[in-house]
Amino acid sequence: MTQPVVSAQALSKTFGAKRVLDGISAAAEPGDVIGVLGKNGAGKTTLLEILLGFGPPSAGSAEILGEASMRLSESAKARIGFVPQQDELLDILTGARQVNLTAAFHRRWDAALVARLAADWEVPLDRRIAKLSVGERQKLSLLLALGHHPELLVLDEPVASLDPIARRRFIAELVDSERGERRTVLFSTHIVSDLERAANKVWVLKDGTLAWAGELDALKESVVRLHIRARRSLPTDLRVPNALSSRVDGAHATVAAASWDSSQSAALAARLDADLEVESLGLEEIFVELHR
Amino acid sequence: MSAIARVLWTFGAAVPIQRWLGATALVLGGLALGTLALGLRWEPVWALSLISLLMYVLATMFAAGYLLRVLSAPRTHRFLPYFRARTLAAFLLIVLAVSLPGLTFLASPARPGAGLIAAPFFFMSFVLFLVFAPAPSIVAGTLVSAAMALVARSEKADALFAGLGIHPAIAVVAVWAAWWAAFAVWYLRTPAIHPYQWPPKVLTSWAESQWSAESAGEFTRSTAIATSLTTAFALGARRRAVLVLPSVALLAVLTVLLRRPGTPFALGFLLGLALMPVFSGPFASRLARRARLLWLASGQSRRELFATTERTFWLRHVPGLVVVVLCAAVWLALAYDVKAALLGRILLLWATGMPFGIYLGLAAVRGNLLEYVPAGVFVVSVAVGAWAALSEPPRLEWLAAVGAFQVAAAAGLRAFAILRWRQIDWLAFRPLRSPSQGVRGLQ
Repeated sequence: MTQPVVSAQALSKTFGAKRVLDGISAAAEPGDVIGVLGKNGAGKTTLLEILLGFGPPSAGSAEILGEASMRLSESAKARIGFVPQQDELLDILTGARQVNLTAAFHRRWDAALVARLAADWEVPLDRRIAKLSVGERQKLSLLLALGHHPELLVLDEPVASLDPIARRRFIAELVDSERGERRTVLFSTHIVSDLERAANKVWVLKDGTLAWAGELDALKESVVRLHIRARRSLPTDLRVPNALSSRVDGAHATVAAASWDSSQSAALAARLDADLEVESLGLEEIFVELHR
Repeated sequence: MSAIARVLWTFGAAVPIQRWLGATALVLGGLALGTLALGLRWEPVWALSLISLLMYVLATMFAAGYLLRVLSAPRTHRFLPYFRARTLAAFLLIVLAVSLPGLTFLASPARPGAGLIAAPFFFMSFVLFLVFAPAPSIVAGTLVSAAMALVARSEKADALFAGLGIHPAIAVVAVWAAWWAAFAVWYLRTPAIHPYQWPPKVLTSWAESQWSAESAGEFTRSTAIATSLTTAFALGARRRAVLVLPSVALLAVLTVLLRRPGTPFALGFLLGLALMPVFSGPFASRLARRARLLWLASGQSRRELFATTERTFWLRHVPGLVVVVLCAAVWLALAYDVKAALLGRILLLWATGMPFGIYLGLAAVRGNLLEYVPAGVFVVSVAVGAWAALSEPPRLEWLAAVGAFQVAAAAGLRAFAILRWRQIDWLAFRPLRSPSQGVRGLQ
């Protein structure tokens, strides 16, 4: 069994009296592209930054590339690329100087790749960073994170400020590079369509806990919406297993359920004396249902 | 509560130090009235309540000008109904409140010194200059100070007004009214007020262009580390020295022109010099916050990051500060005839206070309020040291004790900082703040 690139065991984090993360256990295997989903304030940034060792967990443990996050070695850090939610670029420098500065930290720096990405993504490297737009700054942060061919790429809301074309270019680059280098990517985002394009796994955070961690396809197959049309009025409590939400209106009902198995459909239809229609949901709808 | 009253409340209580001073003045004022009702005349309570009130008024005078700009800058505020008019009205009410005693006295037969009466007017005008036009404020400050010195010689001013056939009180009130009317018109008509920036944009842009030109070569690993830690602070000691040079030169010219050995000005500057290390704590704390940038990039452990941050502060910032302090000392000696022994005592206090401040800032990495307790001890030690150094005759034994305490505390705090950096949490880290940063934080 391969060693996970990222692993969290019963990870919790509290700030004062506020518990932001509560017993998170999850792992990322080499080559995984994991999308971290969650509402604002769900703890996505806290989770990513604790995994990277920016702060100690209040309980549990976090490991990256087989090392404790708080005591990462220089060689382990050299294999990580990170784009924080708020960029940490130095306003006073030009884009080219910032590239030069970042390159000085890495023994393995691919100047050709950075130059190609800067041209493809239209990043004006000759301008002072203070003068760049939010989107341009984000693109610069992204190419700085890719320049040393990291084995693990951690991106906190990497495309929030990019226009759709830039987003697609970035996702394409991410998918292409991942295919070539077997890179592990962990990225948080609100843009579900990007996640569907790039990720093979999803971690869904809800109120500091992991509401779902697994294959994206499995999530999409597992959460369904049931449309129930009965011959007579339905009870308020339909007792549907793993129901996420339900709405009953006389003889009609709509239920969202997780971990749904097609074999359960016939039994439910028979119990309720109803016709049952099973609807597959898109990731965005699943996200909404998981947060009801 | 009307809109104007709400803005007035903001002007009067937005800054924490205002609230503390205001509450202190209220409590002591109540106590003083209580003693009066009981037939007691406990003068220290009266004196303290008056001092608190005076300090609250001073803090509000400064904060009001600053807040006027801070509140006026956000573009969203432009869409609030009558925002500028209401904000201005509240501000002018404060101007009126602080000017009224002086203006009233002006009309009375037993008129005290005109300089004292005009002080709030000049002070608030200067604050406005400082926050609305930071670059010209240095020049304006010089001119206003010169004007104050002129007005202070009230007999001459009286003679001048008498010659013109104008009663001095009418002239002062007319100047007062004309100035605030002109400001009101400008404030209401100016299309956009940008956020406050210090140092002025024109100076930082120039310095930044110099910096970029200077460092056009390739970064090495060590220069990359130092740049990541320090560029946010106006580009290192040499650039900072270039920034402050014009104001230092202007002040030097002013003090040479108005040279008065032994005036309270000299005492104020000496006190300022002694208090300088107080700001090194928040400064070092900000550097510790920026070490986060290097956690992944540099590959250094937390212990190594502490050493890097410490070394960067000592090598890149302290030399510049030493130059500034020595220049200030020479200037004080030349402009105010401050004796070498007194300057030596102040420099000694600075030298022992600086490490205390630096390691206090590097040890305060949790961002909780408890960290302000050693900060308070530090400020008290500096204040006691300043008293010992400035006393006549000097309290050398006190000064030695304070120096020894500060050095020992610095050593202890360094050991403590190394311990804390093992678990430094950049997710929760909030740097120490000086009172001036607290005010700027309102932006």
